[in-house]
Amino acid sequence: MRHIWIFGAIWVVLTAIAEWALSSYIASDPFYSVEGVQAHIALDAFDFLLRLVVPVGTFVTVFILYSILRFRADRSSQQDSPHQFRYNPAFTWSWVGVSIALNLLFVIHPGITGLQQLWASAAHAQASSEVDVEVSASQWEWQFSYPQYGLEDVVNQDGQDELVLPEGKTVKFTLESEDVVHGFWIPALGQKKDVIPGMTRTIYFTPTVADDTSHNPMMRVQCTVICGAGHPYMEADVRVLPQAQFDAWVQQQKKLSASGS
Amino acid sequence: MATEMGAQHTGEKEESAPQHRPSLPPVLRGMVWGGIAFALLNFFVIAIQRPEYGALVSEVSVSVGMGGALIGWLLGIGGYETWLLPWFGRPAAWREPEGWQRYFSFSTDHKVIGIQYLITATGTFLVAGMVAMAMRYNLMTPSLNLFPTSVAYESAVSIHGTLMLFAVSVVAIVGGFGNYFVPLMIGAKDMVFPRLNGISYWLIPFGVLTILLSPLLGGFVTGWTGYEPLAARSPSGQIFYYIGVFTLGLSSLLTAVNVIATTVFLRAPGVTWGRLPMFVWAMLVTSLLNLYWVPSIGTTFILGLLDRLVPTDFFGQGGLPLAWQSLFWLFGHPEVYIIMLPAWGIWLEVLPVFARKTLFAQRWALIGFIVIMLMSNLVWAHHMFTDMGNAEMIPFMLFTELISIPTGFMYLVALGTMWRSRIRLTTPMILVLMSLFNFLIGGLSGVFLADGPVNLAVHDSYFVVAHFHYTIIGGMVFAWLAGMYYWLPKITGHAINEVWGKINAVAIFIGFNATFGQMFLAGMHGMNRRIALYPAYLAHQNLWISISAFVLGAAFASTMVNFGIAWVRGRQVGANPWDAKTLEWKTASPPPKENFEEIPVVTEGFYGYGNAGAEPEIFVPRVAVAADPPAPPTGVSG
Repeated sequence: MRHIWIFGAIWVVLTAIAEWALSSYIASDPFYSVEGVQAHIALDAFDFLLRLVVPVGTFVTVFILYSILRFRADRSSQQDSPHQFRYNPAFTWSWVGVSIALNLLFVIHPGITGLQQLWASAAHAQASSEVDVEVSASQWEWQFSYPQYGLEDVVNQDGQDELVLPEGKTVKFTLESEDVVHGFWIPALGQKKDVIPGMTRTIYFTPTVADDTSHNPMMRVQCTVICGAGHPYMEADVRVLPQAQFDAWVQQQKKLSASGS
Repeated sequence: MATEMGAQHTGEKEESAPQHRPSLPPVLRGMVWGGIAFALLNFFVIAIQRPEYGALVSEVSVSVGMGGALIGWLLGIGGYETWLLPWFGRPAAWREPEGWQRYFSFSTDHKVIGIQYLITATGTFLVAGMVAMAMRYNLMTPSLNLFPTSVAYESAVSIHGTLMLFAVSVVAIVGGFGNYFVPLMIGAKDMVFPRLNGISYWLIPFGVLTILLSPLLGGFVTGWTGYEPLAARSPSGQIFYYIGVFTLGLSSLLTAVNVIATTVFLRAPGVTWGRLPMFVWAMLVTSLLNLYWVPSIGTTFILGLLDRLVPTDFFGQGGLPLAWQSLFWLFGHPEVYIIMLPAWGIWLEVLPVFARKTLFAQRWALIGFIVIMLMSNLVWAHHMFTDMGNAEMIPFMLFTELISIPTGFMYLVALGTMWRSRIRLTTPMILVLMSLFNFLIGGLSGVFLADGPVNLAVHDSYFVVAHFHYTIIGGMVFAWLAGMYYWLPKITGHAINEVWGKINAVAIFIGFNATFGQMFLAGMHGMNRRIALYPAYLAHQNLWISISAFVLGAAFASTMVNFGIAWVRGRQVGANPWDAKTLEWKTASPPPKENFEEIPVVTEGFYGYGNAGAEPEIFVPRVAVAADPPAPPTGVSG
């Protein structure tokens, strides 16, 4: 019994220390840059899981270290352990019970609840249809069109493809691929979706911070599914603008496309 | 390794009828016959095809040629005498070379084959590891430096992944230790199908070389997953991916048949199912998984090859690109357990020996093995969360979380065995404990990946790269190394330097955790997979990952040197240097040709330490095994 109490005490103390250290880690933002509603959903799930798996991790680690330190044989001893037991129902069944409970909990929360939150953000956008962006992926380029404003394949002043989003609005992205499978990812917005040739897919992002790629490289479109020679280059700049500036940008692009055609 | 068996051979085999001593050493003859077959078929196809641009090879001609090369290679290596001639009613006249040359020839001795597998897997591990070092060197800076093009880097990624997954991690323990120790641990003289065993090994070098030769045709850029329709547009090296992996899979399949049949039919008297060592159980369950899922991936790869050659367009614009992903992961996820089950088998063999204590809750480990085997095919789509709607994720999220429950049973058994034991911290024990820790991190990071919203954030990033390296290197490779330290004295008869063993183990542990621990952070920082170049803000993290990776590489190399020195001039050891109880330790080190002087009769379980009592509590045999014919129990004694 003595061993159980000592081990239990060490485990509790180390778990408490680890959870305390975790708080400062979580405060420093494990995802480095989280600038959208969906990214926050993912980060909340991540933080929750982190808090719950740490006691599991410390339990096994402390158990291993405790066994090494306390149950180590004398150098000279070749004898078998005097304590031989094949089963301990209390330990076994609490192990089984806790692992079933934890795993079912993870499925329900943050698993299904997180997905539910993602759904909700999408449903909101479908109801209000705020901004639509059509994304065309091809080897090795992202192209962005805004059908509401009649803008096709918008580019910045250097002629590079560029994704411009209004701050605080939920944007519906319609994803299509012209050739192979690509992956549409904006790291700072915390979600991605594969773009499959022959299929049309949607993903919703709600950026909450006015930011752009030059200030925050995680605010970029990045292809995540290997797609050939240009895969690492297959990225595009993103600019999230306050609503007024976004409107101005739309007007400017309309003028450009009118003069261009 | 020229043992006393060499002497035994001479003279004995002279009596069998005509002896075909090949005019060339078997490996050379295999290469010549394979080369001739390749050339003939290749030019035959070219003559029919008449490519307009006058090329001497086409994808079709190379594929057909490789089929011929495989047959020529297998016949040349010894299949002609041992397989082809008997089919035509001629006597199987094959003289197995003696001494070191045995290892470069067709063999029917499971111990020779086991060593062949181990050496090949180790060599492949080092080659694919060097490729990884090159990748990490390239990633020290944000731009291309070592590799001339992005395609060259991606081909390196593909070769590294394909070899490590299909030719190392599913082969090393199953092919190496499985072949060597399953017969020994169940008290048999050999596998049930020795000739099948011999041929199945020689498929491995062919598969490995095929994949290594893919740069000759431009390499392939798809990674080890071969996603369509990119594979259809990849350079022609892609066909070597299909052919190589198919060949390697065929080898796994034949080995699976052999392991299952051997375990079922060749157990010595008294080795009941209840007493079967946990490593043999792990081999059996792994082989059942192989038997199920390797044909599936083989068929998928043939479909992929046909998509390029005919082209059939199963997975292209006219077909279903997503079908490839499902078919691939339907094998790909069971494969994770094909990799890990043998590693757990090693955990459960090594732990009781060095804890000097009987296995705790052995029945639960077995339940875990079997539930994992049954569930392993229900989780495949968690590799495809980014491909599906939210609702479709839920069942796969559920199964993925649930499968960690039987996986946790391995820890239940391991920790319970260590509690109040008497631990001897030898190198194999240290490596098993490290494997427990690493796989724990791998498993806990899997909890994050199983979660839908988190998965969508970190999928296809270095977070995933870190996760699966923690399971495969951290879990399987550490267990494999533990197995090497544990069993090499049995295989070679020589002890391994323990001091260097421990230093190397600690160095590998530090290098490994530094490398892949940082990759979790890089993934969350926006570093995606399989890229030769990356945004400049990731340079600092990548530099430190690379430096850690070089430490890891050096530690692995140093370990290999330690093994080599031990093999050549290690201290001689007796039959049972670890004081272990399973049957392989009841015979000499190295074991004689027939394994046991006489077949042992086992009267109790293999994990009875101290006052634990004789019989294990799982499956107590219904009928007491009569020792028939009555032989003195040379087997286990309490």
